[in-house]
Amino acid sequence: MSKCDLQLELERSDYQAGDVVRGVVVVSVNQDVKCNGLAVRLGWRTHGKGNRDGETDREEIVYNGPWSAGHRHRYPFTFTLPPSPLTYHGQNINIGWFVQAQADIPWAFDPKSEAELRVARGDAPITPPQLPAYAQEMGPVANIIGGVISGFVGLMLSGVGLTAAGAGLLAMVAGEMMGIAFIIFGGAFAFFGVRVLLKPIRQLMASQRLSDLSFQATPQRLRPGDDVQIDVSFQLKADTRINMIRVSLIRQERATSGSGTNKTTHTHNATVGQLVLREGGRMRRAERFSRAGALQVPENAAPSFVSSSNRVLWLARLEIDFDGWPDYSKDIFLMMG
Amino acid sequence: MPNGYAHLNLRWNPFSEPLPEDRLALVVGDVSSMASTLSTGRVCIQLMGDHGRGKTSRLLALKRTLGAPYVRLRDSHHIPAAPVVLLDEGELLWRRPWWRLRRCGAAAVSTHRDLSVMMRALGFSVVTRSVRGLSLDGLVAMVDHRLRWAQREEGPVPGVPLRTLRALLATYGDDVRTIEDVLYDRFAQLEEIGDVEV
Repeated sequence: MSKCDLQLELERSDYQAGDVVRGVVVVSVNQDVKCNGLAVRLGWRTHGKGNRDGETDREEIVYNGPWSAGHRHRYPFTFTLPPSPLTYHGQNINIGWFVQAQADIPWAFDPKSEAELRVARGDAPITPPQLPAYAQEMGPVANIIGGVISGFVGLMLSGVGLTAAGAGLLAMVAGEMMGIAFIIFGGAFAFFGVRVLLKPIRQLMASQRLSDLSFQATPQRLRPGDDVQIDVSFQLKADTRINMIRVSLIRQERATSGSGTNKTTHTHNATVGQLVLREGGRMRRAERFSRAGALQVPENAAPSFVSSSNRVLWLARLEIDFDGWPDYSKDIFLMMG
Repeated sequence: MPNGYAHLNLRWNPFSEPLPEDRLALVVGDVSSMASTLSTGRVCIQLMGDHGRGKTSRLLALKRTLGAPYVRLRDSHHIPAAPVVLLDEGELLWRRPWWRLRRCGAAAVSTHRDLSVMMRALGFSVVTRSVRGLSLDGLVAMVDHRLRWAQREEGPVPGVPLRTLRALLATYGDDVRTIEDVLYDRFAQLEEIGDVEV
């Protein structure tokens, strides 16, 4: 039997940001015990495909001292909820709020109790978080450097892979069965190398069809219900058949699990709105394309969220689908408050 | 998943990423024979296998069984002097103070690279265990652990029938990580308590 048991009682479980959370910690004492601190904490945590992140927003020590067997004690507490983060349930990422009570009992397992809350948007505006580096607008020089690095890495991997595979093939011709291992190893390297190399090449090829491209999504700081103004204009360098030009409003979840060589990022994109600017047809060289429109942010849009391993971000994605040519794509990250 | 997982009587997706301390409790697997081997003297067991096959899980199971210190070599430079030490990502050992293994009695190391030459030079006799293959029983036990870990309160929870587990093994073999990913996605789509199908 434990020396004491804790139970949390909350006034309710549904709140809005900015509300006051009221509750009581009930302590049932089974044996005489000294408590070095009964802590009550308000915090949030993530769960899903990414490593768990979390933060204790507030902590209060509600009692410190002896407890006698056979007694029950009630310790009230109150916390005020901050404007964010909000409770969120997505595909790869979930964010939940909780209240936790824990008693520091010497020479024993510290008993604890936890209760979950749901926190919806309140009246106070939410300040969107700083966008992570990959989501920030890069200048043309940075884009070129990024492309060169990708291309270099892809070339290296492909080169190593093809060399190993070639050596393996020669070994097999000479009767060495170990050559199979080199062919498999080299083949895998070459496959990944080509994949890394292809992305910047495809993007480069696609952009070669375009000149004077302008893609704007404004404002970049948004709230639910806002309209995102979309403006797209470009000229073509050659006669081209277009399958589609569209801009999508996407809520992106990026959850990272593991670390080091075991790190994996799981990305889930949910398209919540789409604006088709053109469908089908042929455009002539030097013909100017210029269209504008608006995408509405849903009323229940979740705010942007950034923590160590989990990100909920919003973006406007322009896609130009050329017929018989690599597609062009560009993202503008938005800050949802 | 607008209501989270409460409607499934779950606190979270059973195949979500656990906290490191929870991962220890979730580990499945009988490592008693390895634990016995490690108690026979100056021996090193090297666990070799691809990513996602359960090398780290076996080291954590040994930690739970033996109470031995577990060191992830990517994150730590410290190799404690202990009767048994458990080292993860042993291919990084050459970049760490590997000579400190002389102070250890026995070791279990996960690795992609054969460390037998280094370990023999340090005075260990080396046993190599290939980590691959996932049995149906092992998968059943893993799913059961995960469901109990995620369960919210007494009562029914979604189930993963044997036909689903057999199908997963047939498709993905011993790639535990991919099987966990597939089950995560299935649970994320459940609208009510029932069986998970693939």
